[in-house]
Amino acid sequence: MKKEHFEHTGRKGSSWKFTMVNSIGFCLALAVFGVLSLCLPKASFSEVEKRELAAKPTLSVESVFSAQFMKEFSAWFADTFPWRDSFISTAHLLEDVRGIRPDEIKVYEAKPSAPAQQGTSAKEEEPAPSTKRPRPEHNTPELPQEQSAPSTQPEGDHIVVTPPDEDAVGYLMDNGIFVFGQRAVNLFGGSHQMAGYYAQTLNSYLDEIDPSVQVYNMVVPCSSEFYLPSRYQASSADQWENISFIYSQLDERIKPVDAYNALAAHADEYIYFNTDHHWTALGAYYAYQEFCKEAGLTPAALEEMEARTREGFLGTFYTQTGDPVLAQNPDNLTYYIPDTQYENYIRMKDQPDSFTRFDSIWGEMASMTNSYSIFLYGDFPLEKIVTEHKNGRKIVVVKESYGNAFVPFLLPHFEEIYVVDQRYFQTSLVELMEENGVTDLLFLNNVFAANTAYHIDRIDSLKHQVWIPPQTKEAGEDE
Amino acid sequence: MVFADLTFLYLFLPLNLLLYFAVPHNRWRNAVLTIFSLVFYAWGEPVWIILLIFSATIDYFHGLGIAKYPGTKIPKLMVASSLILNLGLLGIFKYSDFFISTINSITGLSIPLMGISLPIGISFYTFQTISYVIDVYRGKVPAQRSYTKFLMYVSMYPQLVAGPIVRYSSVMAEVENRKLSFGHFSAGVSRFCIGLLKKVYVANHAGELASIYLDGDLSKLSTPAAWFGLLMYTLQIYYDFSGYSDMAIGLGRMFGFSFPENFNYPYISRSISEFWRRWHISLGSFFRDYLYIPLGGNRHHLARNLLVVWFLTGMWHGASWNFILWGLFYGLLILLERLLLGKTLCRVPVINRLYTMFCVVIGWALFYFTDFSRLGQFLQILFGAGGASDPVLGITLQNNLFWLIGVAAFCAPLAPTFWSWLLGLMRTDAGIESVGWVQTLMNVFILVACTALLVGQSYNPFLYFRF
Repeated sequence: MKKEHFEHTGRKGSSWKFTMVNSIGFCLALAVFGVLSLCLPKASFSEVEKRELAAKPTLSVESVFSAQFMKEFSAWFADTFPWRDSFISTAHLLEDVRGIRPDEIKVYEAKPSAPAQQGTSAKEEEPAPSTKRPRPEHNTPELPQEQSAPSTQPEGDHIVVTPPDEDAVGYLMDNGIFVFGQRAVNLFGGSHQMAGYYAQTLNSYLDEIDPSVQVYNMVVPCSSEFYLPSRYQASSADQWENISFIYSQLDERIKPVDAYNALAAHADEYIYFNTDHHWTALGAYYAYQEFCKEAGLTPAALEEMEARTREGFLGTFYTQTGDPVLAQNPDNLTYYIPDTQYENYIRMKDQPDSFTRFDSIWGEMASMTNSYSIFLYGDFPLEKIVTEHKNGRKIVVVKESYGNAFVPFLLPHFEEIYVVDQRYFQTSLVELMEENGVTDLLFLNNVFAANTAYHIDRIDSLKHQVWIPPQTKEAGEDE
Repeated sequence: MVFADLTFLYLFLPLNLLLYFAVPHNRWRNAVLTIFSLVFYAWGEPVWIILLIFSATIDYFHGLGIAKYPGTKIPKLMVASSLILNLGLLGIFKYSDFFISTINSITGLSIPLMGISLPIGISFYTFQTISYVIDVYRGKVPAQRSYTKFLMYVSMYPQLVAGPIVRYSSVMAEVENRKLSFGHFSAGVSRFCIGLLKKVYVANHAGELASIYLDGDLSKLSTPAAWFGLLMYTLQIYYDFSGYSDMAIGLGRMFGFSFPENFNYPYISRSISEFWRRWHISLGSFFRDYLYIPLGGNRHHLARNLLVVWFLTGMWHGASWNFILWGLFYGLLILLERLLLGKTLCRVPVINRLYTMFCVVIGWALFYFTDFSRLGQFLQILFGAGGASDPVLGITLQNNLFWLIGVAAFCAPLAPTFWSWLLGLMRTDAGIESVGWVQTLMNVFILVACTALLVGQSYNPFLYFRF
C-alpha cells in the first residue's frame, strides 16, 4: 500500500530535484492551458460534427441556483478547448491503439438508446448539456442556417409542429458501424413490422391523390448488404429480404423500382462511399437506369455528362467513428452534370410561400466532411427544378438524403422536378401536387429510412400537413 | 464538479493551487481550501450545500457538547442527536422515495413520490461527521474547537463527493498544522495522474463497452456477450471508484493531507472476507467500527450482526432493493466463510481466487440491474439461456486486446511491485533520481492523453441528419 517509495530511501523526499520539476511542471501546465483557454479566440461551430458548439452562458441568479450555468459553462469550456481538433484526433488514436484489427476489422457497436444506469455513488457525472443545436448537412454561407427540422403530429383537428427529439439516434435502425480495411458499413436492423408500415403508408397515398398520377417506390439497399464479410452477415439483417417484403406489400398501382438488383450487378464498382453512408452518383445512376425502365424513359448515357470530382471526402462513418484508417483513405465524390438547361428554386424552412432562386443544383462550395451536400446543396424542405424540356411531365421525389445523388439524372426527362425532403417539408404534399399538375410521384428511401418509424411517420403526415408559423406555435400549444 | 473534467483541471485546480500556496500561514490556507471546497460542491449542488453546512455545524456543536460535559448524560444525548439528524437527512434525501414506493407496493396505496434528487456526496459526509462525533464520545479524538477548521475537514473537496470516508482521527494533526513539501506535492501529482488515467482511459471505456451489452435489448444478448458486458462493468466500477480515490488521495497530498487508502487490489482476494478488507476500505471499516463491533461482532449473535451490517451496507449504496440484495448476498457469503468455507475452499490455491472473483462478478450483476425482471433475464442468459456464438464480440475483443490484457493485469499489484523492483536495482542516489524522472515523464504523457480523451468526450457529431 505504500505508493511513495521515494520517502523510504534515505534522503528526504523534498531534496530530489525531479520532485520540484514534477510539482511545478504540473501546476504550470494546468495554469498555462487554463489561461490560454480563456484568452484564445473561440470557435462557435464545428464543421466535422455539424453542430453549433456550446456557447458561453450568461450569468444570472436563477441559472446559478439551478446549476444550469455551471453545466453550460463546463460544456462551453470543453467544446471550445484550445486545439480541440488536435486533441480529438489524439483521442481517436489513443482509442485505436487499444487493440488489433483482426482481418483489418474494427467494430463500433451502437450504444443502446436507453439511458445507462448509474450504479455506483462514485459516478457522479454531469449530464450532457441540452444546449447543442443541430445544423443541416449543407454549408452554404448565403443560405440561412436551419434549426432542427420539425416533425408534425396530428393532435385533435389541428397539427402541432414539434421539434424532433434531440437524441434522435434512437430512431435509426442502426446496429453499429463495421470498419474493415478502408471501408465502413453500418449494420442493418430492420424488421417486417416497420417494412410493412412503410408499404402501408405509401399505399395510403393512392386514396389521396389524383388516380392519373403514377406512383413509384424505390428502396435502396445500403452498403453493408454487399460488402460486409460473409462471416459477419448474421450481424446485419437481410436487406434483400426486407426490401422484397416491402415490395410484396405494395398496392399493384405503385410501380416498384428494383434498385437492389441494379446495384447488386455493379457491386464491384464504386457505387457506395467507403467513409460515408450514402451511395455515389454512379450507384444512383444504375438505379436511375432501372427507374427509366419503369417510367418508360430512355436513360441518358453517363459518358454524355460532364463529370467533376471532389477529392478528400470524409463522410459520416468517419465523423462518427473518427477511425484513423478511414482518415487515411478519404473518398472521391464524382458528380455528373446532365446536358440540360434549368433553374433551381429552393424553399427554406419556415418560408412556405417563397423560393430562393439558384442557377445551379450543385452546392460546389461544400468540401471535406460536407462534400455530399454538393448534390442539390443538401437537404431542404423543397427544391423546384424547372427544365427546358417542356414535355408536360412533372415529378415529385419524396426522399431523404439518398435522393440527392439521384435527382440530377432526372433533369433530361421532366419539365418540373419537385424534390421534397420528407423530414423538412412543411406544407401539404397533396396540395402541392394538385396545384402544379404533377404526373409522377417517386418515393425514394434507403432501407434504413424505410425501416425507421420517424421517417415513415413523416411521409405519412406530409399529405395534408398545415404549416403553423413559429410565433403562433406556442399559442397553439397552450390551447 | 468532478475531477475528470476540463473545467476542474484547467481552471479550478490551478487557481486553487496558486492561491493555496501564495498565501502565508496555515490559517489562510485553511480558508482558501474551505472556500474552494464550497465552490466545488456548489458547482454541482448550489442549493443543497445548505445540507453540507448544516451537517457540519450540528456535529461541530455535538462534538463541543460532548467535550464540555463529560461524565453526564449530555454526551450520550449528543451522539443520539447526531445519529438522528444525520441519518434523518439521509433518510429524507436519499431514501424517502424508496420508502414510499416500498410502502405503496406492499399496501397497494399510491402515496405520491417526493421526487427529491440525491444531493451529491451526502452518503459520504454524513458518515464522516457521525464518525467524528462517536470518536469524540469514545475519547479517541479531542473535539475540534474551531468551527472553520471543522468545516474545512468536512467540506474538503478532494474527499467530499466520493470518499474515501476520511475519519477525523486520521487527519486531525494535519488540520491543525501541515507540512508542505515538493516531496509530498510531487507524490500527490503522480498519484493524481494515475487516478485520472484509471478513470479516463480505463473506466470510461469499460463503461461504454458494458453499456452496449447490459443496457440493450437483453433478448438479443448472447451468453458470451453477457459475460463480457458484466466483466466490463466489473472493471469499470473498480477503475472508476479506485481511480477517484487515487485522485482524492493525490490531491490531499498536494495540500498536505494523508488520506487513508481506500482500495488495495481487491480483485486478487482469496475470500470474500478478504475482498471486503481490500474494497472500499474506508466504508468497510466504518461499518466494522461503528456498527458491527458495537453490535457484538463475532462474539455473540454473529448471524444477526452480519445480517444487519450487510443489509445496511447494501442499502448505503443506493435506494433500491437490488442493492440490499447485493449486500445480503455478501453477508451470506461471509457467514458461510466464517462457518465453513474459510477453512476449506478458501485455502485451496487458485480455486480460492476463482471462487472469490466469481462471486464478486455475480455480485456486480445484482448491483447493476435495479430492475429485477431485467436482472432475472440477465442471470438466465449468463447461465446459458442466450445464444452461444457471437462473431462481432470476437472482433470487439481483438479491437481491445492490449487494453483488456493491460487493465486485467493491473488489477493485480503490478505497479508497486515494479517500482519497488526498479528502486531495488537503483541503489545510488543518481539511480533513484532517474527513476523519479521516468515517473515525471510518465505524468506528462498521462496528462496529455487524458486531456485528449476528455476533449474527445465533447466530440458529439450530430447524427440526426444521417438519413
